[in-house]
Amino acid sequence: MDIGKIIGTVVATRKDSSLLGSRLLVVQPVDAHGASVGSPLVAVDTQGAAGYGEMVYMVTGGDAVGVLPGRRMPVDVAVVGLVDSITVTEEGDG
Amino acid sequence: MYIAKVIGKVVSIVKHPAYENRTLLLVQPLSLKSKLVRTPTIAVDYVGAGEGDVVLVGAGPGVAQEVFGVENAPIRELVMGIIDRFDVSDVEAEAP
Repeated sequence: MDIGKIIGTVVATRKDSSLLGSRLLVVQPVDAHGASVGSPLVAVDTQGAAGYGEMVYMVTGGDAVGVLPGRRMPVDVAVVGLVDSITVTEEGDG
Repeated sequence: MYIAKVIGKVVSIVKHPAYENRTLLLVQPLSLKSKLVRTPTIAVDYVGAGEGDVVLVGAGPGVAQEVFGVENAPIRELVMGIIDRFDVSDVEAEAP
């Protein structure tokens, strides 16, 4: 699961009905230290507790569609958890 | 699947139920010259891997669901094996 940092939210009143009630977050993919990697994207929030600046992890692609039980959402990025801490014991120079 | 190294551990309390009582490992892909490449991601451990282990990471959609019977499992990367060693004949030809 890719690590990301929440940098904003998206308000979309007209959207697919399966997305009603779930928050749309603007997430910046980051590395384990929080440095930005690539460009921001919009993810559906399935845990409902993520706030601005928090580190989260996301599933992308087909796994995101069925994240919430009982409904299938037309999404390809979904936040599935909040990061409390990451301990890095080895650094890649890449 | 790809070869990766466990380079850290992740603590996460608020998370999707499919991750309950599973260890979350920070893994980074390993090139065939055993150098850490690309960006670290979070993988769910299924084999008791620890920091420093070279592991086999499965990344197919629905892998956890079929194989490990975890219903409705949004698990993109899961650690399905600990690699003892890998031999590659022509490493020079390999991409960086």
